[in-house]
Amino acid sequence: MAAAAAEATTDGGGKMIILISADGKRFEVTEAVASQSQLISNMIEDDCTENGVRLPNVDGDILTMVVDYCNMHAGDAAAAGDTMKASSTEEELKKFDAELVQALENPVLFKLILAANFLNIKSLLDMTCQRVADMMSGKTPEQMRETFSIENDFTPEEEAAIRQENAWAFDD
Amino acid sequence: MPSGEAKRRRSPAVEPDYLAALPPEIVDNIISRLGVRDVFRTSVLSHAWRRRWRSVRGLDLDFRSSDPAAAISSVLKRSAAPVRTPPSFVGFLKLTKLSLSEVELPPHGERQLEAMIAASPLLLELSLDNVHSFHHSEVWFVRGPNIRSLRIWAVDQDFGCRIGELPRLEDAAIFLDSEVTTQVLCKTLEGIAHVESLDFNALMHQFSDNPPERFSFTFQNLRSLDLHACLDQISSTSLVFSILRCAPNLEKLEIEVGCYDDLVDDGTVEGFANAQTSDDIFPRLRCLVT
Repeated sequence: MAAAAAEATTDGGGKMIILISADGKRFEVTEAVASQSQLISNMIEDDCTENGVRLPNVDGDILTMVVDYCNMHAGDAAAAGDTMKASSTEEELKKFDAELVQALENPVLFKLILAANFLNIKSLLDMTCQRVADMMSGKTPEQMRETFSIENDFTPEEEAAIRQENAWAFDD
Repeated sequence: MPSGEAKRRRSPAVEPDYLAALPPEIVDNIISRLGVRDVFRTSVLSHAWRRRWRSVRGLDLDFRSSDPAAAISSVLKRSAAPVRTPPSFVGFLKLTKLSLSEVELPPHGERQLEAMIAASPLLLELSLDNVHSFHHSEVWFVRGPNIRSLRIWAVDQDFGCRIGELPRLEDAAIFLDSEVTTQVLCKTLEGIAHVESLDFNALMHQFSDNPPERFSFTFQNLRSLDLHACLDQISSTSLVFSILRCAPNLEKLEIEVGCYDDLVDDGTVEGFANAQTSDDIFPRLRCLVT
């Protein structure tokens, strides 16, 4: 992070780099924004972002969300070094984060998890994993299976036996 | 194996199983964010989920005070990975029996275990069987106002467990790692010196310094003693004698002879038995089994 900041050429947003999605969409972002991805931060440090960063695992629509997220959160990253740069209030960020994950359909949510994991953006990974956990919390096993399309491969007898074993966890 | 019934109940496969497609560490991340009830409910989802939670590190143990003790102990027993108690944890107020076996403690987990035991005021029975630590064990103390029965089995590793206040302890089974120092050994015995029944392993193979001839305390209440000893090892034998010298009210003594080389002959055992029975230091001893 420190190395990336040192390379900044302007005192505005710093050096720009290009991210290229699996389907060839290009996103121009500042190094400060992109550095929230540990993967890209390492590439910046190693000086291998000159010709754009190809992300063959991430589709354009998912990368759009990731870039939006990073743009929105660039404030906290910069705030670590310079409080003047904090662009969004904590309140705004919370609202933005909640809206980002709330509305997602499963296919998009899980792609976003994989992208956050691949790009190594811890805060986004935590947030999306928390969303999945929230979708499981307080649900009956039937509801969990339905929510995530999990195939029940137990026989009714097997399932009853497991429920019996841990009856206390099913009693409400 | 999948019967017609199981097939019938299969949900229409409109979507793939996204969770199954995630890398395992992400599934761990998700499970670690669930409450303990939700965690248990996942075990009934499918075969793949049956034991999935057991390998998750950092499970959140947010038990309710109404949860049965059996549930708590089954979580602790089955979880292969470190669990953490939430900061709001007030204690297992109704727990009477806790048995941990083959448990790996997280860094500084000794402190948590110490606090957990101390926060279980009704605990009667405690068994710690091969509890492991990640790195070097921190020293911690077992304390409990109501603990009657204590079993500490530390064969592979000294996991830092020491005896704290156990005012109501009646029987103890202690098997300490052979690398513990004489001082730790003496402190441990002193801490449990008021028991009525003791099962103690005195196979001190790598014992570098000799145990004291006589302890500074006596096993005043000790009626029944079960010793595991290696009678062709001087340190083991002398430890046996040290304990026996300090147990004036012993009524039943059982000595189990165990050696790695199995070379100890019956003569040694008989000689030992004779030495004991002819000795005047056990006026109450009625039963000797070797």
